[in-house]
Amino acid sequence: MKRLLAFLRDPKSMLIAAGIVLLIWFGVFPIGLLVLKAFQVKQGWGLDNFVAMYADASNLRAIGVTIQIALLTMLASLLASIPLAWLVARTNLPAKGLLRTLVVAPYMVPPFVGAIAWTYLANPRVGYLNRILRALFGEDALTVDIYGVGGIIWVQAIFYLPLSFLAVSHALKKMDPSLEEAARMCGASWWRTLRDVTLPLMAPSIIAGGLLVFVAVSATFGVPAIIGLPAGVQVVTTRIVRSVYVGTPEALRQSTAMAVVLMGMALAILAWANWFTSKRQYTTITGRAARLQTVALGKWQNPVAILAFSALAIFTLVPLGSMLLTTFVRTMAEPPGLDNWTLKNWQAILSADKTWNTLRVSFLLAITTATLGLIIGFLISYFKVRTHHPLRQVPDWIITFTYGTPGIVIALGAIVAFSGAFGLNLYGTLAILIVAYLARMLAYAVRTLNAALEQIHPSLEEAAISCGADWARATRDVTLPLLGPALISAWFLVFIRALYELTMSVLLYSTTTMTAGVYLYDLESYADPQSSAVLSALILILVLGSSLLMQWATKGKVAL
Amino acid sequence: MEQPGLAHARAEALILDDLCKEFEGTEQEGVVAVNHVSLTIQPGEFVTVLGPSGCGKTTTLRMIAGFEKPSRGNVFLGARKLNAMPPDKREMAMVFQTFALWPHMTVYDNVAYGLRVRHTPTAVIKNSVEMVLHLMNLVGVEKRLPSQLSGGQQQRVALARALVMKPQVLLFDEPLSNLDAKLRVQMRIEIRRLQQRLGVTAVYVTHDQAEAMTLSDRIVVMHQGRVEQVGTPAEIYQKPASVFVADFIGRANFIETRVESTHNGTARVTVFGRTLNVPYAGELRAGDEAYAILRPEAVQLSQTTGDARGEIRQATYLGSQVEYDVETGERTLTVIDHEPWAGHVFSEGTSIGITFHEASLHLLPRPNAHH
Ligand SMILES: Nc1ncnc2c1ncn2[C@@H]1O[C@H](COP(=O)(O)OP(=O)(O)O)[C@@H](O)[C@H]1O
Ligand SMILES: [Mg+2]
Repeated sequence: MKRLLAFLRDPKSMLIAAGIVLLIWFGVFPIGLLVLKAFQVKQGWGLDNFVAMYADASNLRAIGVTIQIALLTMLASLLASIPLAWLVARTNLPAKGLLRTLVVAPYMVPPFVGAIAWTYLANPRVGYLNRILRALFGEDALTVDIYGVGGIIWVQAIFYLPLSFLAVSHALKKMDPSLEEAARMCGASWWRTLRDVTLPLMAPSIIAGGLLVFVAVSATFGVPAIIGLPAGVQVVTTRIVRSVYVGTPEALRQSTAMAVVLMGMALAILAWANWFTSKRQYTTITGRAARLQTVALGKWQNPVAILAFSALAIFTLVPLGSMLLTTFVRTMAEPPGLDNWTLKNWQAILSADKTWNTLRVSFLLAITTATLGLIIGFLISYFKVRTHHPLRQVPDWIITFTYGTPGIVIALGAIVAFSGAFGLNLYGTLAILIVAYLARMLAYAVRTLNAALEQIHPSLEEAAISCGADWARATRDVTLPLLGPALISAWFLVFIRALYELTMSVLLYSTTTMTAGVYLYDLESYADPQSSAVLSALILILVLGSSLLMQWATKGKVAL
Repeated sequence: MEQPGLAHARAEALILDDLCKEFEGTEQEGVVAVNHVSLTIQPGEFVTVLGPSGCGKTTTLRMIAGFEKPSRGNVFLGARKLNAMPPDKREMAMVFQTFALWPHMTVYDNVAYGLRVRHTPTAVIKNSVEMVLHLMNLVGVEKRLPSQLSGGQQQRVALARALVMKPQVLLFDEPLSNLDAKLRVQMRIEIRRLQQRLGVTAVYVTHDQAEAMTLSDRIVVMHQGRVEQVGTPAEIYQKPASVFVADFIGRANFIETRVESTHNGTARVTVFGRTLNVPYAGELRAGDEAYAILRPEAVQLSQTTGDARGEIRQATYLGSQVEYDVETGERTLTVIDHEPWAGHVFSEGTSIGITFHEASLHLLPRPNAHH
């Protein structure tokens, strides 16, 4: 009883309780409601929706294709990122810094922009690659067709490569180099060392990184919509979006069931990966600076470098280049050239009100989400790292849960929960987009801030308090300045993602709240390649500019 | 109990010939970590490389192991030049500061790994591993993972993993620095015992002089990448070759004096009123400024007699010994009394007589003193 009273009297309790209530109301409630809805049938509860969903062969096919794509994308990106990470971390390859930048750079390219870029290169009819092939080998030359399952895997493997690469590199960096040296002293060659020591020790991190890719890919909408739909390939997300657009109650019920299946899969995988890595965390940071002798590639040095660099350049720079080229093409029926050159595409897009309206919406959303995310994220992180309150972990758990939930599920849940049936009607407003964005993106801010706060020893704050500063003053004078770069990067990490969000926006936008990403998707569906090239280029420039700004503002401390 | 099964068949000297290592720094200038180190280590010898942190000990060891390439100079094992040989071919074994036990392998697998790499028949592996585990007192923990062992056991496994390879040369990089003080003393006795029994050549890097003193046949004192002195522990302590060595090894009082004459490796100087012939290191001629090195434990305090008189400024009681700062008017002298039974502890402010053992004195040229 006494404990309860003390708990209630603590002002932190009120704040934390209010926070938890809000997080549950806006984060957990919509998701929970959607799950309930999936089990709701005409009279009472049951599995009818799931049965109906599975009875439809095209639903089953969509689930199968989704898993197939996610699995193969995961394998492809791991197969590429393990040797790349090893080359960067453990060999004497020239210009390793540049190589790393090239691998990681696609992280800053919205995946659907990457997909659009690839269509200019590998559209079977007018793609530049196919034009070149036909010019070289005649009309019956091999045709490279980006549309279809293969293309989706290809593009996603490239644009999700940074995710697995960063996981593998991180594990390599954290490993005590003397573990590898010990194997060398036991007579193992560098290759045996890699096989017997390095890879087994990194296995948990590699698997976790791969599963991260799997979950992200299975929940994404942009790439499969742009590259899959023209070839009639449906994945779970595209099917859900379509049935919401169609809007019949039957289709909605089935897509709710499908969304719940997707969510169950994602959360189960993430939970397992979490458990697995925490159980088998071998790699540890040692106090000593890592100064592992690098493997001399000898005569392979230059061939390997050329191969790695040209592959990365071709996979990302060439498609983005062809996208830029397309913005100046008058008609796609002709190959690009001096007589097929125009500035009209740019003029048309830049003079259209819709461009500026959608960009304004995107910026407004991104700035609001990032700012709210920073404030809420700081509170969550501060409570978790700095206090001993019994509930301090709960907000972190909630946002980890909403972060792991596929965006499409959050968007569907927000529609169900905030369309007036429960006293709050946000449908068609910016607010519903912000709520959904925050549910998915708060975790980015919180993780960045957690890591930074854990680095700042509490004694620094306590020293300020012992000098007579109160808690607020100590936070303002000591903690916040020390957190500076982390605060900036937390804001930008959310800002950039919100700027190019598509999966949730596609379900939640209204005519007045259409984002630039949705507008681009619209243009793409109406088969207006030049206009979508221009808008893609605009979005890309804004996103890249923001990330450069972030690098500058944090003095380069935020390396991806 | 002899363990001939673990001794290496060949016995060759390890020769470092003018080794240099320069690391590329951030600026134009590189960091010279190791500077013209030459040394011949006899088969079966235990040599310790001793020096303060950052003096180039680890870099020297890693050049021997093959993890760093010398910028200049050579490493020989007998007549074979090792420079271009990768670490896995050098027939050396290394014990790491962090133990570097593979966390995904059991104790048995950790120890057996090197033999497996060599394609040793399974039965032979089993024999060798069991023998070395027995030797290291590790019987019964074979199936455990390194994380399930105590620090001392992990250290033993690391040693066992090195020994089972029957290396020609055993390399140690501060292997005891992650253990607590008691265990450290115990393990260094054990390391010395094993090395002597197996007759393996050992190169042992440490910054701890007690370790170096107790373990080594010879000590190599390093300072800023250079070898300051090579010698037996007694030589290093009693006849330091430089002011750095005298200061780094043990405690020392540096007493300024002037050489009156030299004769046969001794120099005539006056210390506390006594004129003596004192052995010296380096170059000294009549008229040179010099330091007389006087170890604190070679000074005796007495209330009645003494070559000189002083006053106790500070007395620090440490149980097994008492340390005094004695003010003589010209300087403050550090004195250590190893027999501080009751009544022998002088209190601060006491006027005291100072005597010293003549044989303990050692002379060094005074750096920066003009001739
Ligand atoms: N890989 C490296 N790159 C640059 N400088 C190094 C590297 N390794 C060591 N050094 C420098 O060389 C010097 C000697 O280092 P080290 O051999 O580790 O000293 P010790 O083991 O005696 O403490 C130090 O100044 C250290 O900073
Ligand atoms: Mg060292």
